[in-house]
Amino acid sequence: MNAVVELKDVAKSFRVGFRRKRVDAVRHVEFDVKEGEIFGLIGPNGAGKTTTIKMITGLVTPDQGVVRVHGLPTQDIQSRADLGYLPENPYFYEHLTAREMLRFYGQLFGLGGDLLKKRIDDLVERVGLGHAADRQLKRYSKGMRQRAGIAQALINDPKLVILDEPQSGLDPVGRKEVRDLIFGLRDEGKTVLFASHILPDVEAICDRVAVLHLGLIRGVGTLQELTKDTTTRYEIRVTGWKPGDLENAHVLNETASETLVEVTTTDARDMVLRQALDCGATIHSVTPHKESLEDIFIRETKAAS
Amino acid sequence: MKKVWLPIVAIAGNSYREALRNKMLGTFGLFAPVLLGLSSLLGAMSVGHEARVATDASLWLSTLFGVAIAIYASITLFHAEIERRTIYTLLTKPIARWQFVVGKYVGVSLLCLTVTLVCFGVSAAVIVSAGGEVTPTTAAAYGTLFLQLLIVTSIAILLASFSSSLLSGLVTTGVFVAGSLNSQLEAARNSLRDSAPGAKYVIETALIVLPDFQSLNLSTESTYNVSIPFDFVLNATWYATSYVALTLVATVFIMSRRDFT
Repeated sequence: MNAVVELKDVAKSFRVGFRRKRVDAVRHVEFDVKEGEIFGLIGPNGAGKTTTIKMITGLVTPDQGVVRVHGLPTQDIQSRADLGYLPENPYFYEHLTAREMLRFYGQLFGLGGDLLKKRIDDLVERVGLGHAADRQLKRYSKGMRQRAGIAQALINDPKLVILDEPQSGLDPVGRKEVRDLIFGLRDEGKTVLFASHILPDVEAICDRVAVLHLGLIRGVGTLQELTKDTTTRYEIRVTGWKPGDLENAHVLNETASETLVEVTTTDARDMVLRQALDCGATIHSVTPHKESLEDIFIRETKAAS
Repeated sequence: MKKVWLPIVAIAGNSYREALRNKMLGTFGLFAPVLLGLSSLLGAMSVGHEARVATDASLWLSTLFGVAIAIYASITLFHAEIERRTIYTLLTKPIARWQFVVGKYVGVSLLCLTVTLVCFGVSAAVIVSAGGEVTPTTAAAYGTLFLQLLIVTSIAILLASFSSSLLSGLVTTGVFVAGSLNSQLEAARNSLRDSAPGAKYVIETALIVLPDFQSLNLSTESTYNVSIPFDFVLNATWYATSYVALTLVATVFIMSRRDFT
């Protein structure tokens, strides 16, 4: 698969404060986003996600390294011809209605006439703003602004869509709708790069993930590659037995009818099962739990700190 | 070629529409005719010179309003793009930074043209009602007022590209006032030639760098109906266009090197 976005040894620093102290926002970042995949960029606040995205979109020029979009350097404005971008906490022209805003952004791509009109009609329906398309954006709620932002990111029917915290400020229904929309984009063959704090959503959506912390890439790969598919703990539901002082096992929950025991090693699991069966207890379930994205996130950020 | 201008037209149109829908600018717009009515009142109070005073006062008030609106609109429409971060969704489209700067400039200039035309219309009504007449010199005076507003707009946009709204507004106002006092600056330079050569160089630099608004102010000619040669109009247009072009080049230079973090 072709790389739609390529970053090679990219670094960016800023001067901040009265004394113009240098802060390295991004250091030696390298990854690529392949055509047709959903790529997640995760990391805590200040990790360098937004700076990385801004270098891809041409808002920030890297101090070193190469950033290419569709094979073109980001200084070339044509690198943005097939790109749609939703910034974090987007702000729009409040004097415009959603329809006017989309017309304006469409015109920036050289679109016009019936094609633009049809695309606007389709997009307002797609993001669920059909009922409010002729209302000024200053009268929109945060969730509605986010939807309007997604619509403007899609006005040029881009091959690459970059979404910075697209689910920020949305309720669970809104989050699910954004998730479905991202899946829809992938089904249309588009490439999606998005940054998020909401790890379960990243886990559910992304084909590949990059973990960024303190400006450095801590890992890039599929979830299986990052977690190494290892089981980190087991939950055992049992009736008529308790683990007592057993090492590497402890009770998570206890009711009148059953006990939920957590063990962290396979030896402990086998020991619990053997002892419970010897006592005549009933085993209801043994559930293995693999390392989650959250586990990786916490592990990597702790290690880096 | 057509595609190069499309984003500029879109940005200019959006800026113009934003200005028309802006409450503050709308309030300015309402006040302009009211205060221009004041010039009619001033004319009525000066027995025997009603037409002359009305002509002079209306041009003076039009200049005041025009400059205030040009500065406010430039800063609101340009700096706010950066402050409100709407620039993120603009510059990530396939447009060059010069197209953004020119689009914004054209949008504010359209507003200045509207303001000048409204002020000219109201002033003409005031002058005629005071017993005067609207001459080609009156029209030329409003034409050069528009040229002054074009220069003020370009300076305000240049300053807004790297400094805060407040500072940009204050400095642009200062530049307009200093540029309107060219003859006084020249007199100060001549008187300081021997006593303070350092100050003389500062004033000389200011005279070169600052736009010459005084030459573009035709209030005396308009009041006394002195005919304006066509050459003057051409030279004034050439001067204003060159000044605006240089200022916009400097703005584009700053904007093309700026990171939007």
